[in-house]
Amino acid sequence: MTDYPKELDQKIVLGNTNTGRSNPSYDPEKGRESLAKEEQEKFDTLTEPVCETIKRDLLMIWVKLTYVMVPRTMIKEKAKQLRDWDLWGPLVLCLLLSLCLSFSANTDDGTLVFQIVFIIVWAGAAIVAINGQLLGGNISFFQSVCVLGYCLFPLTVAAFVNMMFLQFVYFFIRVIVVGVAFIWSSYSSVGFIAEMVVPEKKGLAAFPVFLFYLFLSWFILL
Amino acid sequence: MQEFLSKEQRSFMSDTVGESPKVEERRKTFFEKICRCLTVDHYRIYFDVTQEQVLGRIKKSLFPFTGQPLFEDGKIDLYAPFWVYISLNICMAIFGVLARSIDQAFDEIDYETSIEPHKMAKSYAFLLLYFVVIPAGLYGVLTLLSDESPEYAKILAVYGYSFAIFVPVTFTFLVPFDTARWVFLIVAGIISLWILFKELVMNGMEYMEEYKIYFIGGVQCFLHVVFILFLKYYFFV
Repeated sequence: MTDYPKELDQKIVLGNTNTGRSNPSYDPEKGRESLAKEEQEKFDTLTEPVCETIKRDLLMIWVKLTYVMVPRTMIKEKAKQLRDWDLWGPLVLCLLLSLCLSFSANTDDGTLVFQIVFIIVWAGAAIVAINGQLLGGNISFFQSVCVLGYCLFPLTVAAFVNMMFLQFVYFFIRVIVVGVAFIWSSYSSVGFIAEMVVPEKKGLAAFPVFLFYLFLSWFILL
Repeated sequence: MQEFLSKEQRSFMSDTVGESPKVEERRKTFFEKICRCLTVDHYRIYFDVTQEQVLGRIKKSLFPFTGQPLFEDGKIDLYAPFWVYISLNICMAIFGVLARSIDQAFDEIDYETSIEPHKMAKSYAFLLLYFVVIPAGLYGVLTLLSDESPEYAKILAVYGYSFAIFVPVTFTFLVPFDTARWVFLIVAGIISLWILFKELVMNGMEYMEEYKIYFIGGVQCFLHVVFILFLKYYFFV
């Protein structure tokens, strides 16, 4: 706490000088302590049962999945939830997708397909995030990974259905199933990513997302 | 204005006024302290384009015979070259498999009709050669042969846009006739070479001696022929 420069202490004391509001009686030392205590209580989960922790994390994943599954939810609501990023959901979905595709592939290529899909998901999310930042957008790497990872849900379901039920069905039916999943995934994620950049560059931010899901869709089909 | 503010208020008006050098140094990220070229900010100037500008440049690269320069305002961008590279890789993977499936239906021969991961990895490396290494070689040669040469970023951008024509050409591999595929590839090669000639020679190398330009042009033609042959005989069987 003593590492903070004096200017920051003054900001806490004097408040927001731009609006003219201030709270001169606010004690910075006391303020930092109470804030630290609040943060500690929020994250002090060492004493709670493991099943409580797991239940909370699973609920968090489920809430985010519902925002992905119902793309008509207001973008602002979705943005608020997905800004509180986590990587559990993307990891689980990526692993499920990679496993489904590796089981569907030839026995010789199974391991290679798993590696390629796993790397493509994480590298693709990183590239989309960097692309957004280069276009001047306000998007962080982990938010991008979170959004793209959760929006993999429809494609993961399509890959599972393809593996279990549609292996020996007409190619045309598989195209329809994967096509619907691709449109659903793209629609869910493009809105969020495009909101992060200026309107003149929305198409430039959305195109990589479209390409990312198109490539994964073809992987599932073929 | 500042004389009417208190000392504390003055320090809030600007991020740098009244700030000690140590605080300013601490605010730099780790990568910024090593080298600015390791940060995203350093490359933002090459991505400062709108979607209309990019679409306009892509249209000019697909049909470059209008006489207009590719970068009208002189501002180059690396957005389209990078995504042309990625799109071309993806299209080669997808349409390579589809082309083989179509050939299998017409020729009644068993071809490999699933995605070949090793070919995909090789396509990324092969195209990286054309999108990054060969422009670097050209930049080196131009720097050695003359006092003035276009900057490396411009050569990268021009190369990237010149290969944009090959993305729609991969779609044409769905046509089941070999002659038609060759025609599309040769036309794409000519368009790509014309873009390189127009942007680099006509708008950048006019100060060089003719024999040097012919030599560099000959090498570029040879490299494009190698690219077309690889596309036809390795990725599209």
